[in-house]
Amino acid sequence: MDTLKKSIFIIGCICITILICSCGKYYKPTETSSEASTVILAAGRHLAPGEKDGYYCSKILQVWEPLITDNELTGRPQSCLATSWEMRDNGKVWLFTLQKGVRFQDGTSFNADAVLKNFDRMKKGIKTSNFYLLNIDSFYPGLEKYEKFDDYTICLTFKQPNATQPYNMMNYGSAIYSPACFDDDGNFNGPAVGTGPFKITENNMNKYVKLERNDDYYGIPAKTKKIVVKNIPNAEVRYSALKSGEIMGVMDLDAITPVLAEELKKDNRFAVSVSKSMIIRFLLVNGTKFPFNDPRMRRAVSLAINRTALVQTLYAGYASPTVNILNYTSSYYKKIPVAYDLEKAKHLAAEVLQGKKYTMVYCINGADVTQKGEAELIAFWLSEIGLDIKIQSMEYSSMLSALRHGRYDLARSQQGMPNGDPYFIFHSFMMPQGNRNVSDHIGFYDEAASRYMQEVKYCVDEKKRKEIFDHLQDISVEQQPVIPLFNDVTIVAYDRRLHGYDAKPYGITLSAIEMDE
Amino acid sequence: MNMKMNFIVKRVLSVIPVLFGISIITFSIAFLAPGDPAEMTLDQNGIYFPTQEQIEQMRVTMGVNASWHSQYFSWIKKALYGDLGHSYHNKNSVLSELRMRVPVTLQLAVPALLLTGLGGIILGTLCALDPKTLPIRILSHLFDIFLATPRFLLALLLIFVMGEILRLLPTSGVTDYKGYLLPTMALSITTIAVVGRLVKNKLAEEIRKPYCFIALAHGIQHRQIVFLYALPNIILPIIAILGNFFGEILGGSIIIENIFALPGLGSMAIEAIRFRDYPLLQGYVLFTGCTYVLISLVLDLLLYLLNPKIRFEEY
Repeated sequence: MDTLKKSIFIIGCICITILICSCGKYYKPTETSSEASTVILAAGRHLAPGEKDGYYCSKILQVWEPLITDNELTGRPQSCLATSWEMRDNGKVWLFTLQKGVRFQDGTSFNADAVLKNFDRMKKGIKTSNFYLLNIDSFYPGLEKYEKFDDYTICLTFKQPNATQPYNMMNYGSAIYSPACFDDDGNFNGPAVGTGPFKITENNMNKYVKLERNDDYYGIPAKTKKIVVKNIPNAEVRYSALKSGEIMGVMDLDAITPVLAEELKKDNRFAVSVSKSMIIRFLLVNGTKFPFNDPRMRRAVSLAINRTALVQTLYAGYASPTVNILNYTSSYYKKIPVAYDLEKAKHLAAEVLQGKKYTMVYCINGADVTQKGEAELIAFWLSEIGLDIKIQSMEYSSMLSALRHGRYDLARSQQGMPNGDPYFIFHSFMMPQGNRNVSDHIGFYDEAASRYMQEVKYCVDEKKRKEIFDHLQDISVEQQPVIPLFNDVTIVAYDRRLHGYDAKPYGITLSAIEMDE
Repeated sequence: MNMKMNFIVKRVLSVIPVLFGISIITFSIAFLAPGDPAEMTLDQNGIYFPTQEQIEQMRVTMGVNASWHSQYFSWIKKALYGDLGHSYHNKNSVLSELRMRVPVTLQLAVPALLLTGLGGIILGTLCALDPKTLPIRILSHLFDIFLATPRFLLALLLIFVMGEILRLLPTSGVTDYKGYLLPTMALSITTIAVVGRLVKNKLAEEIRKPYCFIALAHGIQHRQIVFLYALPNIILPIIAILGNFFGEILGGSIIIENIFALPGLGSMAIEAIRFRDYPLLQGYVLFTGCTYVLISLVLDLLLYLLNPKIRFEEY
């Protein structure tokens, strides 16, 4: 009997030893990681969804470039493949001068013909994407014709004045690819070929994308020869991969949670970089029914929420409290003090509720774990002004359905800034026919706001526009069509052996990354 | 042989109404569930907000503005010709999605099955041979611990120990076979405990039966009784458990695939549900339905061959 037991133990031990030995002394993440010039990073989603995606890959991979990008400091349009632009006929006609001496990664020339072929592709219809919807009508509203003046000048003519067209074209609005990489339907026939500092050498769907420096890049070349961006959906696993040395940095939206970022900061091998994000988080209120059809109740809720405590408690300070619906990356953003006044909130709520308690449904996205804690905290604060909150955790798609049918009182939501022009945001939330105003049953109407929106639509005077947007922000804070909570912060974490790994509103600048030898 | 063929044909034919029923139920549930596939395709978790016109246009493009039955019959008509349609959200054909994801799931499921089968039977037998020694008592308690440990916790623990602390294995991804070791372990350990405990209990019952006492009285050694007589007699329930386990992980282990970033069937199912991607969901259900039925057929055949009682009942 003893012999048998010993034999089984020995076999077991041999199996475990073989397993461990097969793993090697230290794990080497991938073949490429052994090459000194390769940097391995990770994101929470696959950043190159491939041929059927309208953009093939995210802009942050720097494979393609737009005609116009954004200035990271001011949020205003900045030249990229278009070196300059000129507005004519009060914004009905726009001329764009293109960068000379640029070649696509396939060796073909970037010129007006290539840009027009990209417009032809957009004309073929809406293309869905994991990033932004590729829809010519959104980026070029009322585009009548597009033509070239010469090899490096294109002209866009619109049906009506588009005073802020360069804002519409920022980044995803004017992505340019080599016409050779499109098929007849306007989809990609292989990896995207752009003019950027990196080209795609391998795209293993949902696993990783390999990038290589474009040595023919017309601008400042990328500092790293090869970069691999892995797809690791789970935040805790990204953290472990970073700690184990398997990856050197995390990037993209929600790259790392605030709590894990704080943990990483304790380890001197790693650093954390933060930047403003284009995403704002807020509470939707169903303004089509009692009690939120009364602006006093919306104001009461806003005043009863201690945003600073919320951000410190649940987000470790990695968020910026706000009462302004306009995201803080916009150049038109007006800094307005974040008010917290429980007494005033109680007074306003009592006026509306007539001293009675009111029970309401607060919908949250069950897949977002932080929303539950946040909802409990907010429910506690709102109980002090007479609101008895029932938190309803829902699957995201079901929650959207509830919002579309107005089956809610309060709901947690978010909004990104598609471009630097605030018109889109104010129109969506504050105009009676505004997209979110209608779809989410916000029920907001303010005569002054509507008047200002009409005025700003065709206004080309920058100073005047700023004044109008200031007024609109004041109205939004006073009337609270929705209850803004905080602006997001982009957090990235990286191994200190990397340099140039600085957080930007939409991730990091890959071409600036450099690794210690 | 004729009886066997008859049995197989009957079982294969019974699959058709089952699959048909599964497809109708799934399609109905997906259709009745709140949420609009067109809106979900355009929405990026609320970051981008599509207009009503865009949503309407997308509904027409996707063909989801038609009635439930016309969408279903259109799908089934194409499916009969081998065309499972295209995914709403990533536009790939459902067959190509399955071709891409099934190998990942198989590479996870087959080693997990082998590890579970071998590990469970070896450890269970070891426990049954001499249950009173200290190492065996520790092993029994380990079974209890693993049985009570959720897989996601085990997965995170394995990542922490094997990946982060010891740096022996990759924390995620499947660039080579090493990428499958941690997910395989995370999937198997709990089931090893289930199988091990079953083997231990069944063997304990079996060796108390009269034929074992008689064998012992004849001077046959205890370990010979266990291996030659008792173990073959308890193999049927173990095969059934392993078959169910295999079927379960072939359908995709959603949590494990998500944690280890494995683009297998489980993550495909989650995407399909999240985006209300009916063609992808139907493709998934059809595949898992076929898999379950096939596994159950193989199990029945195995039991048919191993268990004389079943054969005698047929006669």
